[in-house]
Amino acid sequence: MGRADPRGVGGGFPGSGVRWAIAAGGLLLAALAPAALTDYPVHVLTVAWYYVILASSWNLIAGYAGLFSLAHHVFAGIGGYASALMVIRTGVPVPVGIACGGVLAGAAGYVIGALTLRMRALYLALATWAFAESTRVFVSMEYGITRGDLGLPVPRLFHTSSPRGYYEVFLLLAAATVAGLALLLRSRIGYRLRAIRDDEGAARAAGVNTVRWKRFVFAASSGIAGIGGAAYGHYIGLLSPVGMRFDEMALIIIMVILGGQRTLAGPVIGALLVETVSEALRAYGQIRMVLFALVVLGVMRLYPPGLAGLAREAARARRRGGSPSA
Amino acid sequence: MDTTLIAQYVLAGLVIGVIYCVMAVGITFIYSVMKMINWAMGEFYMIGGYLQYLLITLWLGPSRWYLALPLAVLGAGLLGMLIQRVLLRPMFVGQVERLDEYATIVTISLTVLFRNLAIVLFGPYQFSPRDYAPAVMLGPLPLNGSRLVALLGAIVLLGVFAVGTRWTWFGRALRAAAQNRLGALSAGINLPWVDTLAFGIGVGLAGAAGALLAPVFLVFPESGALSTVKGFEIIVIGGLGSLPGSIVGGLLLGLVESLGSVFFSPSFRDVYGFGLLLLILALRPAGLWGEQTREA
Amino acid sequence: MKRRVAVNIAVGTLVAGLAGGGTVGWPASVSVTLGVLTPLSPPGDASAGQLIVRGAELGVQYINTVMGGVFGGKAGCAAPAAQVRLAVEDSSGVPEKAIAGFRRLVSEDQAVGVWGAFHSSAMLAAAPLADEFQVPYISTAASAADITKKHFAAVFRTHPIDPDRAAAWLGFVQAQGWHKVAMLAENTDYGIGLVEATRSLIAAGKANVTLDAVVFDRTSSDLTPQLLKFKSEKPDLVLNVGVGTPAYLIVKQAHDIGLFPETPMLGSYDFPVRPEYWKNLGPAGNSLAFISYYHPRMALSPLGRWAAVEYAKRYKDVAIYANLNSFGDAVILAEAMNQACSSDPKRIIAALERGHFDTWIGGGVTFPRAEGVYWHQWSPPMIILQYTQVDQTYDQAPILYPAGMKTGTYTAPR
Repeated sequence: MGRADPRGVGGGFPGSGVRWAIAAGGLLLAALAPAALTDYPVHVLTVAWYYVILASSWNLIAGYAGLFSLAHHVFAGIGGYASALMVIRTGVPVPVGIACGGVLAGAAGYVIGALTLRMRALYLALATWAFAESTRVFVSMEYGITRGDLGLPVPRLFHTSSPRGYYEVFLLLAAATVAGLALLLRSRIGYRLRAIRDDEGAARAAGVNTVRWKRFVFAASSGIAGIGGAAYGHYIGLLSPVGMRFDEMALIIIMVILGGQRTLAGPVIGALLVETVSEALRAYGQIRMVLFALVVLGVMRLYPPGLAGLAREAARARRRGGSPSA
Repeated sequence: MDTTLIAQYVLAGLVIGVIYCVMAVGITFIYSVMKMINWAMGEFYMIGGYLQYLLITLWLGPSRWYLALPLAVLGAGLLGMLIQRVLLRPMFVGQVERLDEYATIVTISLTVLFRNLAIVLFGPYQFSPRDYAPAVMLGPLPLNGSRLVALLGAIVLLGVFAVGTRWTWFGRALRAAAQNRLGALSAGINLPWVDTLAFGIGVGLAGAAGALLAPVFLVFPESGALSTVKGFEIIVIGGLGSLPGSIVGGLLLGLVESLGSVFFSPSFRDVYGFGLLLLILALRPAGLWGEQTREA
Repeated sequence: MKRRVAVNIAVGTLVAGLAGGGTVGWPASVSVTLGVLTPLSPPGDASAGQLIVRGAELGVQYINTVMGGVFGGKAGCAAPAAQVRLAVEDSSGVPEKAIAGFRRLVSEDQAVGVWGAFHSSAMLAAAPLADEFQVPYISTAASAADITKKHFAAVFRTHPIDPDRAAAWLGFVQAQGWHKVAMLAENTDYGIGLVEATRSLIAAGKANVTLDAVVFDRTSSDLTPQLLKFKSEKPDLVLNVGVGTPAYLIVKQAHDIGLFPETPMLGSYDFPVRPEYWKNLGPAGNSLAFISYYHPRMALSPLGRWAAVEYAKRYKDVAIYANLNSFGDAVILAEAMNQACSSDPKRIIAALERGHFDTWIGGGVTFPRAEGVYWHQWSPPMIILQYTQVDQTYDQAPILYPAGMKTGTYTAPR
């Protein structure tokens, strides 16, 4: 039984005003959190915000536009390597490098979008996956340029390895991503994307330029991932092809599914939760991944709307005065 | 360049190609009956390999590997049927909204589950049963005994599969379900059970490939990754849903990889397959033998 | 209704796990903590990490039982004896996780010394933190030159560097009178580093050798095309630069196509010492030459002998280099603490630079501030062995190199 929400974007919460208030409150709390934490949890949360960027942008293309791309992690990697190499080779300031990384990743996404225009869902998945694996092998083999598995040292954004400054940067980027997505999805572009997802033929018949918007959404989501990946490189100070492995894509999928696809809050909740729990359960090694996989299977099988859906249900139930909605 | 060497390249490519055909046939078979792609096929390959290794070392001994083989395949098939029943059946009884997405997410999660479970249960080590047969010489070309066995085993499996789907009642039911699910249902075929059995057969083929190739490529938790890659490349090249396409696609892939390694760089061996895949997707998206379907 | 209950249980479990996991608080005690940061899950090499953890546990056992803990009169240090505790963190071979793990070890677990790196990228990502926190960080198995070349103040290494390993096999090649070498290297930091090191030694004129180096993707299973290419070139030696599964695959597949053992092959590390070597390869594994770090004919220190015996007792397995080196790192840190008479990490770093330490192999360890890549570097010796009979154990294998230790010559198969 699907629990599709006909109101589409993050509907179910009581009124958009309250929703923005919750979001703003959450943002403030998040911005102030490092004051109460030591460097180690701040680092973990910084990485969690990075994954929020990736999960949200993947949710845009896969959840809202229905294009199940399996190359998202690689676009982040392309952004990372492009920015790093540009800053190293030409000496531009790091923020410029990050912007260029995003542009390059977006361009690559645009190309992939154009190539996969006419592909059915499964073939799209296969093509993006083939592209992802090819890129990984290429980056790994061309170690003359990328240093491959040895690791490419990347100039840092701030001249310190303390995570606090970076935390605010990633929080800002994540907030910008989610806010940008909220505005995009509420706009006519958002309606067009959802129309394409639900029935491409009907959308085309209704006058939606599916070609343009599919390429657009590829470019947009890849560009965002590229910016995230570039910032990541300039934070960790080292890039390696390990982030282009398929495990990374599986992780993004897990985050979005657990949090709840096709909601704005879903990827945020999912990314934060998976990353922090993953870190907390670090001592349990592989069992941790087994557990995640089992939970995702459980969610898919039993409760597809994920945690965001759960929250929505709770809000709805409370509004209805506590009566259960079996 | 010396012809014997080229011949050896071609032979190596074809031998591997035929074996990966088995994977491809499994994937395409599941797709044609259930209309979904199982991304975890490689993990069933890995499970088949582990089962084969365990049966040989714990019970049957290396000389009776041919007894372990059908048991390993059966084990993989039964596991597949269980998974289908628990996780995938809801797709077909109207409980799931978006089938493609659901199937992809569930099977990708299975990939994560099985790979990590293998490490938890058996450790991150590699194992190998003894070679199934001594090496032979095909003319001037040496061929490893296990590869020969795997080649013959693959041919036998494909043959049995072809015969089974064409001439047995069950095979006909499967083909009916592949062609028209509603029609099959109205003809009285128990579709849910057909689905379960089809899935079991499909992953059983993957398990068979894994069991056959255990002494060639070793048994370890990540051994499924590569066979998934090859399997998918083959079905895209040959066409989703087409059995002859899978076979030709497999041979083609094996050849392209081997010859690409010779004439270009051997480092990018696995990328040639992707190149071929992207080319086919660009020029003939349905694959060489694929049906040109219209999106409904 | 049932669904909601199921989901509530699932979410509750997750939250409980998070809360419980987060408060894995060790009771405050007078023990000193040492930390191991190593890959224990994919995408890192978990088998290597497990070997390193075993060695570390053994090291801590040695410190606490045989040495009686740290301080307590050792090296003239009159401070009261303290037991040592081991904290283990998983880096997964991912730079970001290595950073998180290092931070956790230092700030949460209060580790005063860290070792256990296997992947160079993970080590390089965490190295600046070692300098920042001024906690000694020893590279147990990470081979990239930059680790010591960058002269990090707090980073040390007890693993052969790539130039040393390349020098060993080039020396062997020269001693055998060979000139044409083919190398099949995996695309990891280990493989790439060795390709570069070998190439630079040849370019610097240190060896009269032609090299054909091919890099392969570690996820590949079929290396036959690359090996066939080598076969057509008729090299004098094939260098097998794979770790774990690829190392076995190269031997097996080279055997299948008739390349090995007709053409000699050298394994770049001591994987043949493991008992599963013969199980995995059978007779195909005969005639392989390989680099090893010790042999019963070499002077194993009393420490090393203890470690080998205890390891066999505790894990029912043969101790190999990865275990022993990790064991050694633990003991070296304890010795440094004794010599510094302090568990202050800064003093331990100073002691590491000044002191002379016992480890699992005779000859002692020092970490001088030397030039270039030899900064804070100690390399265990490397010898080349060869299996001359099926099911041979490494203590029976003849030593082929270096000349000072030779007990046999390269035996070509009949």
